[in-house]
Parts: sequence; structure tokens; C-alpha cells
Amino acid sequence: MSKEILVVDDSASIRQVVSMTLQDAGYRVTEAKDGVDALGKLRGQKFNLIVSDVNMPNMDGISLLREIKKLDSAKFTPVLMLTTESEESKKMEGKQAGAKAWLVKPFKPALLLSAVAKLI
Amino acid sequence: MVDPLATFKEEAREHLVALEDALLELDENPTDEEVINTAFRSMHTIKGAAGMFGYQALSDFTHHLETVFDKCRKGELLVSPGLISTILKAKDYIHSLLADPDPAPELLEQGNQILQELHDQVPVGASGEPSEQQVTPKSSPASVKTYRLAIRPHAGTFKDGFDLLPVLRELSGLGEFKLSANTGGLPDWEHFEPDQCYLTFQALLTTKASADDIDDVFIFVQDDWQVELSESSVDEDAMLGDILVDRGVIKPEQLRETLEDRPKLGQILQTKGVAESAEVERALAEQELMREPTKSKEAEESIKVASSKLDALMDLVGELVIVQARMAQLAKDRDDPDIEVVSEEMERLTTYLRDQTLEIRMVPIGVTFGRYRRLVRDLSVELGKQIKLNTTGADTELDKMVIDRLADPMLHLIRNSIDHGIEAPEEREAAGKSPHGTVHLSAEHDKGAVLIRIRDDGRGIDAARVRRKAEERGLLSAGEKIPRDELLQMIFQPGFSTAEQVSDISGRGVGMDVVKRSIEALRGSVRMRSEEGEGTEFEISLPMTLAIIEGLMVAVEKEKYVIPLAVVEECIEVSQGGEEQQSEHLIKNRGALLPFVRLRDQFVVDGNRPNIEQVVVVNTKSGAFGVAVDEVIGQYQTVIKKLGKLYERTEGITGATILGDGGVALILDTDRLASSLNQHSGSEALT
Repeated sequence: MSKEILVVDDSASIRQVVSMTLQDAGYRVTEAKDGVDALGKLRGQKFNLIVSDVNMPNMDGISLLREIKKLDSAKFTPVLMLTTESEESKKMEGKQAGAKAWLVKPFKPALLLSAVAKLI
Repeated sequence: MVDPLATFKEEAREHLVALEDALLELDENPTDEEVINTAFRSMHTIKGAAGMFGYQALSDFTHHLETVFDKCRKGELLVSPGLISTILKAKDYIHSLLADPDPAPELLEQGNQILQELHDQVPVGASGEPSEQQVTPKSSPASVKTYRLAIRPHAGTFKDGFDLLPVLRELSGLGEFKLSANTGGLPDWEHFEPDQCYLTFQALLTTKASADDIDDVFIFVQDDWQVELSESSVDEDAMLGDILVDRGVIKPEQLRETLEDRPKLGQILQTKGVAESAEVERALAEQELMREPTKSKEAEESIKVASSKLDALMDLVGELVIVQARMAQLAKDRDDPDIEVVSEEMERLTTYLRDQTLEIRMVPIGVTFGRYRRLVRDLSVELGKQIKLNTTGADTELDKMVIDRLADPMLHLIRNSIDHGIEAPEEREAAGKSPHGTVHLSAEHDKGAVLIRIRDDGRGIDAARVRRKAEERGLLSAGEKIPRDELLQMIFQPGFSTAEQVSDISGRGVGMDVVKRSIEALRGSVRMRSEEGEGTEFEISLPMTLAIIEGLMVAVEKEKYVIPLAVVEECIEVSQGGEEQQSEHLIKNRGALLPFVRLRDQFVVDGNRPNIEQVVVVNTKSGAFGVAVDEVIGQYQTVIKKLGKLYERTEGITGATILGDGGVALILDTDRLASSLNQHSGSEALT
């Protein structure tokens, strides 16, 4: 069984690039378009990793992190933040909310893959 | 699989539309936080994705825009009309940047001008100069540097849940990584605590990554760990070469040769065995991915491909519906229960498939509404009028094809309202109206159709002037009696124009007839209502989809007809000479008189009327009427086929469909039928 990754981003093109990168490396990918969508998917399925954007409508990535920690089924799932935000304060906020890694967009696919490999 | 670049362009365009909508909204409510956030997010997403796809100029430009707008978000800067105008300009500019990742110098210059204009609007005191916040474009190739790292993890790091290995592995992922562990900190075994970290590290990292990137690796441990990072100033090539020689991978002569040949970094890494060939290939593939955007041209075509595929799907579903109908017919004829079960199952699936396919094609009409807001704003500034655009029913869904083809006619009608309809502020005040004119756009579902109204509260249309013009153009004989409502529809006649001056905005008298024709080509209709001094309203009625409708099949002799189910009210039986029949063209139904048309007479079908006729009561825009037929066969899913040029104008028929047995049934256009009934009976309107 290949590992299943949930990719959360409001940008369809970013989602597509992230998904393609991960799928090419043999992962299975489910996409969600914002935090609310992601939570819905997390309730129905178990994932090995969550890759999430920060700035999104409906529910942003940091709030999503906090919600994930409340879910019994997902609270131990590692979360990698993939975002254009590079401000330290944001990163710290992410860390406190439980993010395991922080990658800044535009990202290099190889870097993403190595980060993912480390977390899974 | 859709090309990601096409996805990006389409997404960027969607966000630009959303941005424009938000800006126009802010024009009215400059402090609406939610709208400011929406606008900000659109910029942000465009910026992020653009960087990903190699649109560096676009990404940089949007970054500046975002920086300025972030001040609005934080409440440091007021969203002024001037700022909105500049950002609207910037939005158009971003749109033009989408064409090519490497824009021409003139285009870049245009961008700089917009940025200048933008920065001029930011007060100097407002927390830093935006021009200072430029980030160096990441497009310049990063040079390979070597860093020395001293890493001293916090003793309790394991307890905190931060393992050393992921961090070290991440570092090694950045480039060539040499690590040595310092075990000097280990205590005597007696005092060794297994959950304590005693190790410190020295590392040399040769990488293209910046110091910031390296810092990022330590993001979650930086509070507790001590990390020292310094750049080692060794020439890049010599450094790599030295390492290679040092490792005995190559000889010094080979290094010289290699340096002369200027090999690719990937090859060196591969030769040295630091990176596996698969990894290097992946990295190269990635490089290729980043370059890709520069190669391909306009993404427009990919969107076209998508909708043509959609059309192809729709066609196939249409064919399937026909085949299914034939199957159902066969099953009925054979009277074989097994086949009937299969046929019914297939019918269920076909219906589902059809609905899903139709669903895919449905787009909320609000997308186009947004476009008009910009138009209204620009035009009112140009004409010195004060005009607001209100919209309702933006989420009403309509076939995408219909929406696309509707854009131009609607644009024309709105321009007309602004140009001719709404008066200048002084004139309005003189007439006792508010100086602000309003254009109201609305959309709603109505009996299987979509009604779109464009209403203004302007001066309205002078019926006498329409009459004069119509007589002048020979569209009406002098003194001919015609109801006012019908007279107004004259403006849709070819060559008719009431504008005394030809203005730039609403064109040169081409127009209304073109509008009417484009709408009729969509199987829709348009009517105008106007009260002098009160305003004008255009009402466009459109079918929800062009391809398939639910219909009621009826028969006259052997001829079959389909009436769109959406307009059917009820079916009643009328026996010849019975009490229901009041006269040749009226029947009594539920205590009221109902006009009816006999299809047999309308389409001149030979044969004799049966004693008992079926009357299908239909609802039209001009009221209810009956359609008398020999037999009502039943509900029927209909794929509409065009009749071809020769029969296009046939009164009362909108198309044809192929039946299960291969025969053809005509689809009735009840609205037209009603108006022909009006003409026959000579009455002004139906009840």
C-alpha cells in the first residue's frame, strides 16, 4: 500500500503541481481546497501526511492545524506547511499549532519530496 | 490530464475576476474587512502560483501590490477610490502579463509606472516605504556556496519530541553535506541518561540554498538548539573539485579537464555518488518543469479544449439518450421482462449521466455580472454620470455556453442603459430623482427558463419618438394602430436606432436587432418594457440548457410533437360538441375561458379530428393557452437537434428530435405559438 497524503491548498494550480510531484514519487494524493474541506476529508479517512497551505479562505492552515489536533483520528498525523509565508512569527505560530515542517513556496519538488520522505 | 500551466492561467484569471469584484465592492464599502481579505487572498494566490510557474515578473509585480494592499488589510491605509483605480489598472496589467512569462521590456516599463502610481498613493509615514520592501528576484541563478555549521542540540531535545535525525537529513537534502559528530559531551556510562542528548555536530554544507533556507531547517528547534552558521569563502568550482580529489573520486588532471568541460552540477554530484542518479534525474525533471512555462504559448487553447471536450461529452450523452429511448421502445415491443429490467436500469443511469453532464456545464451567472460592474464604473466616470450597479440572483446557474454567448448582448444592453437610459445628475435632479442612477441586473429561474432582467431608472423610452422613427423607416405605416407594448419592441427591428447622436459608447445603430438575434440563437427571447420618466427594463428569457429538455410527447395522426414539460400545466379531454367547447378557439377550463390552438390546423395535418381531443394546457409569457392534439403519449426526454437553415424560421417550432423508432418529432415553441394564436384571433393579449 502506498502512503496517502492530503494536499490542502486553495490554489488549484498549486494543488495540481504538488499532487503531481507526490504522485510521481509513488504517493497517493487526496486534494482539499481549504481547511473546512480538509477537515471533512480527515473525518472520513486516515492519511499518512498532510501538506497544507496557510493563507486560505474559509479556514486557514493554522486554524486547520489546531482543528486537526482535536481529531482523534488525525492528531498524530504529521503536517507539513507549504506556503508563501516566510515570516518568522507565522512560522512560530505554525510550530506552536503543531506543524512538523515549513516549506516556502515556490518550492522545489525535490525538496518537497525529501521533506515528505522524512515525515512519513 | 490538464496541463498545470493551463490550470494556473485559468485560476489566475478567476482570481483576477474575484479581485476586480472585490475592488468594485470596496468602491462602495471601503472598510468591508471580508472583501479586503478576499482581494488580498486573490493577489496572494496569484503571486504564489506565478512564482511556482516561472512567471517571475508577474510574481514580483503582484508582490508589490500585495505589500501595499496588506496595509489596507491591517488598517494602515485607507482604500481610496484613487487606490482602487490604480489597483484595477494593476489587475489589467497582471492579466496582460499572463500571456508570457518573460514580458517585453515595454510591458515591464508599464508595470513600473503602475507601481510608481501605487507607491505615490501610500503616505510616506505609513510604516515603511513599499519600495524598500522589494525582494530580490529569485530568478537569478543561485550560486553554490559552502557553509560551516556548528550544531548544539538542546540536552532535552528528545523529551521535547524533536529528533536529531530528521533535521540532519533535511540538511543533507540541501546539497552536499559532511557531518562529524562530537561525542566529547558523553558522560560516564553510570551517569548516562538515555533520554538526554549529549551530541554536538560540525558540518560542512555545500549547497545552492541560501542561509535563510538553511535557517528554515532549524525553524522548530531554533529556540533551544544553538546553531552557528557561517559562509565558507571558497571558490565554487575549486571547492567541489577539491572535495572530489580529496575523496579520491577523480585525479587532479581529471578535475582540470572537468573544469574545462564545465559539466552540469548534477553530473558532478552523480559522479561523486553524493546523489543517486534517480535523485539527479528528478531534480533535472524539476528543472524542466520550471522551464516549461517559458516554452509554451497562450494557454487560451487549453480552456477551449476543455469546453470542446465538454461539448463532445454532451453530444455523446445526447446520442446515448436517443439510443436509450430506442432500447426502451424495443423492450416494450418485445414484451420481454428481462430486457425491460435492463432498459429501465439503463434509463435510470442515462438520466443520471445526463443530469451530471448538464450540471458540469452549469455556471453561476454572477461571473459575468462581475464583468459588468467594471463596465458600469468605467462608463459612468467617462460620461460624468453617477451610476450604481445592483445585482440579484448572481448564483442562478446557466449553461456555460449560454453565458458565454450572452456576454455581448448583455454588454450592449447595459451600455444602452447607461448611455441613453440614465440621465446626467443635473437632469435627474431637475426631474426630482436622486442624482444617482441605478442599473439593476437580476437573474432568476422561471419554469425551466432563466429570466435575466436589466433595469435602469433612467428617462425611459419615448413611445412617440419610437413611432416617428418606425414610420420614418417604413417599419410601420403612418397612423397604424399598434399596442404600445408592441410598438416598443420595434426597437429590435434591424436598422432601428433612437439615438440622435451616435456616441462611442453604445455604437452606431447596429445593436438592438443584433442583440435580439443573438438571444434568439440561444432559443431565448428578449422584450423591452419602458415607462417614460421611470426607466426601462429588458427581459431576456433563456432556456437553462441548449441540448436536452424533458418533454411531453403528443401525436396528431401519425405525426409526433414534443412540448417542453416545463411549460405544461395539465392535460384535459375535450369531446366534440361537449360543454367544455365554447367556440372554435375557446374552451372552458376550471370555470375560465381558455384559448386554444389545434395543432392539426396549425401544421395542416390531413385526416379527421377524433371525437375526443386532448388539450395540453401550457403556460407562456403571454398567459395560458391550450394545445389540442389527438393523443398524449407521455413524458419524453428530448435531445434537441436544429432543424437546419431552411426551417429555422418556422413559426412555433424550435427544433426536432429523433425518436426511438428512428422517426422525427418536432419540438414546439409555445411562446411563438401563443403569439401566432394572438394574431389569428386578433385579440391583444391572452388571459
